[in-house]
Amino acid sequence: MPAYFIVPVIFAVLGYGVLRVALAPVWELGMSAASMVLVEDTPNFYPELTTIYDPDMEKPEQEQAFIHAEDVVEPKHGEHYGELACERIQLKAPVYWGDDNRILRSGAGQYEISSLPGYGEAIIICAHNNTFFRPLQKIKEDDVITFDTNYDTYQYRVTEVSVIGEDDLAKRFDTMLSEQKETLLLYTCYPFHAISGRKTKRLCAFGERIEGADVIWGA
Amino acid sequence: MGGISVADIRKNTSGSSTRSRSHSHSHSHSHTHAGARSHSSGRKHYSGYRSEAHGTDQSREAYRKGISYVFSFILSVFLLLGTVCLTALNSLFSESFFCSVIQDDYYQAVLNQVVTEAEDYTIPVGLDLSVLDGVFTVDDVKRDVNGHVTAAFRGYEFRPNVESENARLYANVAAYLEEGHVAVEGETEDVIQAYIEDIDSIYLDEVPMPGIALIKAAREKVRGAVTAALIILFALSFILAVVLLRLYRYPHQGMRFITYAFGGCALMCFALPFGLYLSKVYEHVLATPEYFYIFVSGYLRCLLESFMKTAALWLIITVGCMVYIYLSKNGMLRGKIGEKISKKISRSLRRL
Repeated sequence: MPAYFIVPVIFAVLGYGVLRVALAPVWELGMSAASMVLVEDTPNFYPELTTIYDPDMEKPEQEQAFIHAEDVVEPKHGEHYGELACERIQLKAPVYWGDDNRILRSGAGQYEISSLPGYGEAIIICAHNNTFFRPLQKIKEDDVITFDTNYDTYQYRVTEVSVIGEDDLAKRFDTMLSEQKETLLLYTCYPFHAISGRKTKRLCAFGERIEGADVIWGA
Repeated sequence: MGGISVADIRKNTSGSSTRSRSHSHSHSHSHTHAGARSHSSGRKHYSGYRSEAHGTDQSREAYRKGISYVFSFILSVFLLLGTVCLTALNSLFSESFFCSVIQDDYYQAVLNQVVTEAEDYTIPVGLDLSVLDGVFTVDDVKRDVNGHVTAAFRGYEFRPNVESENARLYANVAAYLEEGHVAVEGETEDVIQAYIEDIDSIYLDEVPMPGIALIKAAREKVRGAVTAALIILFALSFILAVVLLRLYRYPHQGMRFITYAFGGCALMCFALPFGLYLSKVYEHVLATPEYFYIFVSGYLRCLLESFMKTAALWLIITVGCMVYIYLSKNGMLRGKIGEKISKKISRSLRRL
């Protein structure tokens, strides 16, 4: 009677062995294909947006002219790390790292190729014109935009407001990103009024830094 | 088979035992009637012959057993491959299997995807998201997804009728614009129509199941080959089973090895799929969007379940064979019905 259990077990082990040997020529290919389509964690299709921003957190004292880069907690994709505000036009928008559709539903999104405030490089932020950046239609030169982040508060004075086509905007991005100059760019679709079909123009507000500590590397 | 036929193996092995029985009989005969021969020398001669014959019997029996195990193992592998082919035909290329995998969560995920994409398109256009309320329903999605699957498997074109969805969307947009005192005429009318067309294309892009054309093409290419392989494998399995039965005088002796093969096949069909099922490997598939992931993971889960169900079937057959062997071995297949079954099996085997 035990043979009815032992022999099938031996057959199964041998059978798997035979199949393994028979599949040897394509085994590596199959395993690498499997590793490409299998992931360690089950996918999460609705990840929550997280935050590292705390409006009540202690900021460096006024006299401090710089912050060590090591002390800056850099945001990850989809992380809320700051707040944009401009009192005159009643602009108030949370800023997230990244600019996908999920982020743009919750606030303003920062182009990830651009830099964080204080690093002396371009900061490029966008939002929808009928949600968080609707107030941008009233922005003017010399308006002051406050950008409160998880490590310091920065202020930018608007130097230019213009309507630019999509293609030209892409060129402006390239120019800004290649410059070693801290320029804030807020942009949104233009025109603002409803039901205007596909919008190919963008309203852009450029600003230069007037307040806030530099982020420096090393001692 | 090394130049020895099945009939030879059976003849030689069963013949030797008969011979040994007849020698024993002739010896007793000579012992009674041939008084001239000394008793001791006769015994010596007899015992020497018997041990030689017994040794030959044993080696032949071992040889037969060895061959039976090898055939039994090959049979189990053939049955496993046959099961794989059968499962492929009943799942990979089966319309009903596809439809059984697509459940309500799939339709809901398609709807979610359509609505999310439509919302992402609607916000920049400058409309409120409320214009999409009630435009697409799970029932619409279900109708159109199933329409696509059926069309793909039966080889015709399918284009969903989205007139009712368009009408609902138009009514919502018009109502929203009226609220904002915007007249729906002229350029605005054109923009609304263009918007509706764009939302339509989002819906029409998401409703067809991804990869269905690929599956259809694969089905047409390999279905014939898989069917042929299935027939060949089961034919070879049948031949092996008959060979195993004919190797022995009584069917239950050969049946033992067939039972091992069924058991081995059941175990192979079960062990790996069960391991994969327990580790929930199907939940770790990298597939987007969500509805495609639901389909792929559901498909893999159903495939593993299908293997395990087939393994259960093989196990039932194995147990059935074990019961038959037990009853035959213990002479319990008696009475009119029992004898009838036994005779029928023996007769059909002799015919083979």
